Amino acid sequence: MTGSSRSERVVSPRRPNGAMLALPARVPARVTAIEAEQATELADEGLGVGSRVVVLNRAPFGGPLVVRCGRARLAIPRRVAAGVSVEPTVEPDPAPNLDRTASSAPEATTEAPP
Amino acid sequence: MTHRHESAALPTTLEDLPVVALVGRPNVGKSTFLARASGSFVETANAPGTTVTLERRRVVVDGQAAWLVDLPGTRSLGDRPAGDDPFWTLLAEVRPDAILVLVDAGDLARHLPLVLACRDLGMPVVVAANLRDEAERRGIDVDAGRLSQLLLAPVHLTNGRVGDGVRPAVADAVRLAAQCRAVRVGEHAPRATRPAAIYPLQVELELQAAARELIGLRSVGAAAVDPTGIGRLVSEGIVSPRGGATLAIDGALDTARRAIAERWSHQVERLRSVPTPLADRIAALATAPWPGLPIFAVVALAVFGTLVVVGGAMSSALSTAWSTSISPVLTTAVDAAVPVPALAKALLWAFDGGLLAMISVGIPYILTFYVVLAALEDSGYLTSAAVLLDRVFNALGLPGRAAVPLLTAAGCNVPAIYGTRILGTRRARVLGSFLVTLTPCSARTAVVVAALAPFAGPLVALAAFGVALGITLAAGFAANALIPGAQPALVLELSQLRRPIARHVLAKAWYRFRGFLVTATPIMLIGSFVLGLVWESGAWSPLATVLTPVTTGWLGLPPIVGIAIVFAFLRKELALQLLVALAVIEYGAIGSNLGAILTPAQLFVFAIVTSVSIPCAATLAALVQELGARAAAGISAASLGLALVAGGVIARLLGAA
Repeated sequence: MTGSSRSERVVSPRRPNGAMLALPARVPARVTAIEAEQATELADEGLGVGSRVVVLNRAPFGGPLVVRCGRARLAIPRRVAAGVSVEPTVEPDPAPNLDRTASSAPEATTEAPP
Repeated sequence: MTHRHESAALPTTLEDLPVVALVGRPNVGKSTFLARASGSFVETANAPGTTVTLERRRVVVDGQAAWLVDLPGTRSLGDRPAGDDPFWTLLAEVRPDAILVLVDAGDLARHLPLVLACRDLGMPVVVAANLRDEAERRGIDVDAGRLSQLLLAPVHLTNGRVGDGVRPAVADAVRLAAQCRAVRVGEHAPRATRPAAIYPLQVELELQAAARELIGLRSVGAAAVDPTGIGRLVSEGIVSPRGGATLAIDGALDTARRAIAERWSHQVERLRSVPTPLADRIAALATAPWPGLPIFAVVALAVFGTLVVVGGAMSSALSTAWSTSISPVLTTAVDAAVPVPALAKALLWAFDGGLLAMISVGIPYILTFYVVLAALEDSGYLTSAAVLLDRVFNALGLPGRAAVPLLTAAGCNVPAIYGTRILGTRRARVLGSFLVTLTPCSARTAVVVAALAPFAGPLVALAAFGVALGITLAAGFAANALIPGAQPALVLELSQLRRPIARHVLAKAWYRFRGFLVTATPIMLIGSFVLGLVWESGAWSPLATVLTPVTTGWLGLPPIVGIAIVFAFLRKELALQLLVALAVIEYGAIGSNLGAILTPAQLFVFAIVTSVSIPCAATLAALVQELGARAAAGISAASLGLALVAGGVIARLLGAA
């Protein structure tokens, strides 16, 4: 599942800046704001303003959202996800460390865990 | 799920050795690492939050002895993994001379902030980039040398599961700790550890101001002006003033640390293009409604299928072996040694009957269950199941990971009560323990099946479990509504799936089983002995009369059934055998056929009441030990009340009363 093979990235989001809760699965997005209440807990899991996220799926019975953030998969309760504002990006799937600097290894390729 | 025995086994007065603290995010493999480093086993699970109590191990490296202390997994120094106190207070209690930080080699960006926070405290830090095999499978190679240059600390690539790199990492930490300890006790001139200023200027200025304030506190020396306790750490020399300052403004450093971690991880990682590992592809599917729920159903069925087939076969083999070879010898020996016949018989209840129960239920069902559970934990699947079922458990006031102790409870309630430690809040523990006691353990399952299947049919037995499940859910909803408070919404990191390692699985299963044996065997022996005494002396007969209003009046059962239910408190699996024995005394030989003296409806009521009513003596002991006498009494009273109400209502619905 490499970023370049994804076709969803052309999906034009209806809501340019909405809650993560409403973000469709597999649409790459960037976190724009987090309500203070959830900020610490999410920061401890490495999710802060500017983080790139992809909703992978939603657990049944109104359960948590499974979100990829960096290389981790996080289960984020819907209550918490409602307080996280995201902006869908048209950038490729945020495979780990896509935004690596020019100083990194030139042979480096990006490989996304699922 | 950690048993209390091990924390009690900690030496209270410690040999004065350098102390190395093992720190890392949850699920980075600290416990496995510690096992590799010290050569003996600590309970681990591929699920966050296995280490609940502190485990301390003595290690000797190159002739230098040191304590290696495993701390609970933490996401930051300000995180509260053990309840109320922030992690740094736990760390300070240990008084480490050096910190060995475990990070995930495959996800440095998330793990390095904790390394930076530890380094900021001003004590030596050694980094073990663990899980390197998994990182390599995902096409991530870590340049340990470069990372070491950036961190100004030794970095080792390790694989705790097979032991690669563990000894060198520990050796480095022990060496630095010994040096640091020597400085503390004044053998050498103090050496200033001055970490490079890596934070933005604004943050550094804030740090300096906070450090000055802490040094000011040291000169005042009053607790009133030091509400956080950081000043005390500084004045006692556990952390440097700058280290204390980083704790005081931990939140402000967070963003800066994450930015540095991101930058550095890019500098030290070399990525290769590899196909997505199969385990990752399965993991991605396991939390989606489809095919996650069917996968869960298959896993759950496999667990119980294994229990029924393997456990059943072992149980009959072991009890046959016992009754043909050991039981006759025991009977002869006790009869010869004890002159009083009634006492001899009571002793046989304990040593013949009691031990047989341990062997025919404990080993086949509970040990098998522990092996299966350990394999599931080691595979990492349980966090996926927890996410899948999170909402179901939320409705009961529990986090999704309550699936673990409740699944354990189906084997035996005792370890499940200890297992509720992973639930975090006390409220969740009380609610979880209540549901655990309502979950039929293997012994109660056996009673329900044996009482119903032969006389009323297997479908009725299945229906009884359905009713018991309904009662449990209803009680769970009610308890959640009645007990003030709510389950906080938790963010959970999902484990990666791994192939379980047989050695780990067996060691963990045995470790837990040993804990179960230590708790349950004495209670089983004493309980059986008391039961034997009451039985042989005929003291049960007046008791039956006292219980008649409840037994006959409310539940519509013959008086002897009340005795069987009451004595099931001592040993649940005896409920049925007792009932048959009482029936033979009461009704003569025909009593051996329960179907002849009880109607299917009465048997159903008996099965439900036995299954739901107060936990057995061993479970009650675990409840008192873990939650206190008041909560234990409340839970027992609630389950007794529930059993009686449910029994009475069912008796009326079925026309038995």
